[in-house]
Amino acid sequence: MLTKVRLMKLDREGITLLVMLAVLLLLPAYFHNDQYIMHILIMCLIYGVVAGGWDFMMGYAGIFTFGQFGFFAIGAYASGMLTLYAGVPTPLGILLAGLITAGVGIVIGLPCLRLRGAYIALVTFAFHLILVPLINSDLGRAIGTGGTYGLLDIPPLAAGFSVAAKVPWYYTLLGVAFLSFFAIYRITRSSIGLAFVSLRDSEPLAMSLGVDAYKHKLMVFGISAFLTGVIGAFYAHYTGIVSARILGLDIFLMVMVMLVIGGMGRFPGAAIGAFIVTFLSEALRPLEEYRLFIFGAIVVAVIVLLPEGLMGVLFPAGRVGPGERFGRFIRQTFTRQLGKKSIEK
Amino acid sequence: MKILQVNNVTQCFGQLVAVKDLSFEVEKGEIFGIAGPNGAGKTTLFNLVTGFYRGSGDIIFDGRSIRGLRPHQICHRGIARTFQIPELFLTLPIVENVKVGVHFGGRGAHDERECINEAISFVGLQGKENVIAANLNLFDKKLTMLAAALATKPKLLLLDEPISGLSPTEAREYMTLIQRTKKELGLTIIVIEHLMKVLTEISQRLMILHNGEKICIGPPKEVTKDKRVIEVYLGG
Repeated sequence: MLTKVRLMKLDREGITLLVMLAVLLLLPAYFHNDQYIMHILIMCLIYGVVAGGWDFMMGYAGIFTFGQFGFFAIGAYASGMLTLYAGVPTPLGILLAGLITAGVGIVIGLPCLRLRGAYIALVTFAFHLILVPLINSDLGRAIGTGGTYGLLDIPPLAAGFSVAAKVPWYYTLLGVAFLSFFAIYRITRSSIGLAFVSLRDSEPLAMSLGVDAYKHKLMVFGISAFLTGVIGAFYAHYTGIVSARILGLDIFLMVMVMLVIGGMGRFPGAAIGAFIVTFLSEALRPLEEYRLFIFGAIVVAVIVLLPEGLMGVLFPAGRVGPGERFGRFIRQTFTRQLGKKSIEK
Repeated sequence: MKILQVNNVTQCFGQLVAVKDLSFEVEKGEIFGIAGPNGAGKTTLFNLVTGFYRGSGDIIFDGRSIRGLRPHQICHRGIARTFQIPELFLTLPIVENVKVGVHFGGRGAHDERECINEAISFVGLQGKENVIAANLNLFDKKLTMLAAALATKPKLLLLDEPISGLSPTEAREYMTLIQRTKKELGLTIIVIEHLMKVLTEISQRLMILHNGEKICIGPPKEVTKDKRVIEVYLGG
């Protein structure tokens, strides 16, 4: 009965998520013998959560951040190091990695409290860029990152979860991805989500109406970093190897393309974008370096033709016209200083 | 009884002194008007009172200092404001704009839905609850901003040029609303406005600022006859 009532409260985005879950549950029935397809599906789920966490920050809270893969790497390394060196059981290591990443996220969020728009992007991108030399340096090796070799032989999630055991991994990661997206869905529809959106739309008004900007912004950083750190940890245990290559700009850009194609701030666009872009990336692999060129062209075309991404096509009756909303998003993101000026006026 | 006391408040932006050693008091239940030329420091004063700027000096609200408090804390103490250029949550409908005020500033409202409806009805936006704020005209945007501010259940309401950009009919309607707010909700209201005619009509007392300094304060009739006010603001 309770389930029935809850289901009835789901809006179209929630129903889209459930439909996706239903379809994804069935896929191994057709592809369980194809290791390659199963691997791509698993990577779709992993990137989907990264993109979802990123969208939570950028699309819902309006915090223009480039630090998402930093959180992913910290989660991966933290869980890898805890399980390899401290003998922590893998599930506990994953949870601790999430918490450690959330802590780092909050620390990164602190200087961002006084910044706006592009300045937050610069600080978080600096955090991303710092991680690569840190991981590869002598200091990194001393901490236990393994330097340029990275971490090898990271234990699997449990017995039977070898890298070749795609189906158990797939269902586990599907569960994790669903829980992550469901958490984002619930948060964005709660009063906390209302605070995030209000701060995104007009920080001065939100604060004057009683919204604690500092608390909610730190909360966004913490939640997004936690989800990304957890999926980073799962990635480490799935592949068994982690190196600074996961901070490469190609993956970074690919996840950004997922957001654009899915639709920023259009739940669950990030998940849809993850599947499309990951498969597209594989399909375009024979084109080698031209692949990025095609991706670039796709991004430009999507921004011009479908500014709200595929979610805008699926549900065109958005709250505001798609072009207007996208234009506003860009304006608000890059000209947050204007908000301050309007106070001064 | 004084609800607001501003004591020797100064706000500088680099070399510019936007508000200079300003002191004044606002009585509970009055409509207090503030006028002055552009750059006089009127909005800066609102930003100081609502915690957006820190400045120096002290501000006492309802018997307690609010110096150093952040905007949301000041809202929780009972001060609400509107903005000169309408600030709204443009992607949200009116009802959710007002909900932010009720939920985060309403200080434990028991029935949020009822509070939202009350605020929306009070400003006359009933029937438009689900209209997205971005699609509203200027007048309705200003009304929504007012409804959200009222939804925080304030004791003191600061209105920053509430009728600028409105048609004469809309301006008249808004002025009536300000008077109703005072009468029916018992609020103290501070209004910044350029139109002296409006201020003299609705305010019990007026303060004229010039270059961040108070040049005159008192009942509208006295203020409009003040030589310095005529010289720097009203013109010969």
